[in-house]
Amino acid sequence: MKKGGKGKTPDLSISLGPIVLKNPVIAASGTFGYGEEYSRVFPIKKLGALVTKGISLEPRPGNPPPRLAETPAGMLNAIGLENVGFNVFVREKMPFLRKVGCPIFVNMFGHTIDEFSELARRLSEIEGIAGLELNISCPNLRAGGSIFAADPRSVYKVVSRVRRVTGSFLMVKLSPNVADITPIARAAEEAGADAVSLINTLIGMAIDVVSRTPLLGNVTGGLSGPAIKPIGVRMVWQVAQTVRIPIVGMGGIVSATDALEYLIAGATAIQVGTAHFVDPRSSLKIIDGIADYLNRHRLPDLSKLIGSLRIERNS
Amino acid sequence: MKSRPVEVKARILENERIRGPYYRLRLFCPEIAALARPGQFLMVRVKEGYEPLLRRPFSFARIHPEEEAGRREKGNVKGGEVEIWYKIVGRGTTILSQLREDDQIDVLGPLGNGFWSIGDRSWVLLLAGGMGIAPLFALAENYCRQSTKVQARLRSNPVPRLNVLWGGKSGDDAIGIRELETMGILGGVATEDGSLGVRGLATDLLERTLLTLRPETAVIYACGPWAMLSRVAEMAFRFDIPCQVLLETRMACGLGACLGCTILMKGNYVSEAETRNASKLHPRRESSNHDGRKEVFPKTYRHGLACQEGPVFEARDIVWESRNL
Repeated sequence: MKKGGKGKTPDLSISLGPIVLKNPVIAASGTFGYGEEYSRVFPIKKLGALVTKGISLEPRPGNPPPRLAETPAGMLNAIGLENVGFNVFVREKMPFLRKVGCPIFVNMFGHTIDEFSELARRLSEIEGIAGLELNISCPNLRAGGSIFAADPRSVYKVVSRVRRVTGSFLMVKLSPNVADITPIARAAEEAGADAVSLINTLIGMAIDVVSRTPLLGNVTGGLSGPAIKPIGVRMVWQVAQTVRIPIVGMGGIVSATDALEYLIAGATAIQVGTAHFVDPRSSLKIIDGIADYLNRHRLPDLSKLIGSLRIERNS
Repeated sequence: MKSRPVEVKARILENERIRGPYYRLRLFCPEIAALARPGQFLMVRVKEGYEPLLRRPFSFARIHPEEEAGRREKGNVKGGEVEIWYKIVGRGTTILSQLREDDQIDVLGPLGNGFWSIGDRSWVLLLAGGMGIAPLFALAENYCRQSTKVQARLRSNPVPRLNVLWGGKSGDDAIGIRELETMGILGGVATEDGSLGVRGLATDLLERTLLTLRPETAVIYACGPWAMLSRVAEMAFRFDIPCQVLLETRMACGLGACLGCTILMKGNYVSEAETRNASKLHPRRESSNHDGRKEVFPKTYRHGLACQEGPVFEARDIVWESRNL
């Protein structure tokens, strides 16, 4: 961290409920593997926290290739929630994660409410996990395959069931693929979520015009990267007007300025995802950039910054 | 465990057009040159900023960790260099081609597994299709360098014979071929239009060569289009020759985190439940089973990451039917 002009290091720590992070920068699920992958490139203990690749009860092989397509200032992915499953995760991935030196959030999902609650119950018995991030953007098998995250009642049901089986910190990751995100966020809060994180990827598609085939094996996929940042900032701002629980903002963050936009819009912490693919060290640069900003603006910590958006209306 | 990749700013020593859309990029990055092996790759950020967004993977075409006496190339070779050969095919390579000497570019590597050596094989066959020559050139050069060292040490030790076979659309696509000829290891050239070497495909050259040798003495290393590699794999299987193929895929992180660069491999899922689900996941590719024809898609397969388990694979491990030929 760089020192400010007066030689004082600003305090970057924030609290998500009972969990204190040394800085607000969290590595986002699905872009950071199980931590080990990036530990080969930079000291990941400097992160505020880390969210693992999404875990399900059983391992999943994911979608057929090709799984990636580059788009203007962004990329589409259709990995299909490939993961090693609960047992292998606990046996092979947790020993490393316990030694990382920053709080570990485990992203998790199921296709039924029973699967969600069973997995949450099992994960909350595992030592070294600071909290759970519920990925509710997957198809709800009971509701004919529509995603949980699209309906406030489904969200309420799944979150309240998980809440009943675990005392763990519970963060609910919201999908932007909805007409209005605020009732969804409110449903998560009312069901007992400790925080909401948003936004997940936007559903998109790209076509090879020569072969007239989709660029992704799965036809559609999730759009991420700088292209989606304005949508993420808007949704965080909307949700900030709606709920009292902390918001973890994400979507297209590649620089400290991007992160600051989210914080000012009302996010207590932010997640960095796709940026890691471009610049493996981007999280560290963002942490330094936020510290520089606080120095320049003579702010001792983040409390006066979070949710400080000023809207001047000419009447 | 693999060596740690490093992310560095590499200085461009040379970025010149070889011919048509083909370029040679020489980079000064001693940290990477010291670690890199043939068959490994480099993730290149062609430009600061986020448009285009992703890094581009390129195989090493030459690796020169140390200063070498008597190098013929122009420019003052001091060692600590790697070379990439590329063809302009899209936005990334177009931007790359506009970079100049002394520009700095952000590179991450070496990544991936690289070719591995097979013991007691006296005939090493390298088969390249088009730009597939790049990683095989690094392998050939490495081999020549090593065999010189071996010969200097043990005069009596027989050095395996190495031949490079190259096939492409036309003679204009033949990159590095003259160098291979000078090195005395060019075994054959085929072009689809007959403008260089014989008219035909790289695999025709291979087939002809395989008939002249004893299979138990040979090993094949191949890189090129999927259709070619699929055919090579089939021939290697038929002749019972070990065969390594370097596969190209779209890639985002290069580090095993994004799970984007999967290759379908023979093998089992990590769980039985998922093996049962295999048919649901690939319905389109399973449909031809009703009339008793051989099932195209195997019941058991797994996803291998090209950036971790590959990009070099044992040919017999790949589900070749998984891509449209």
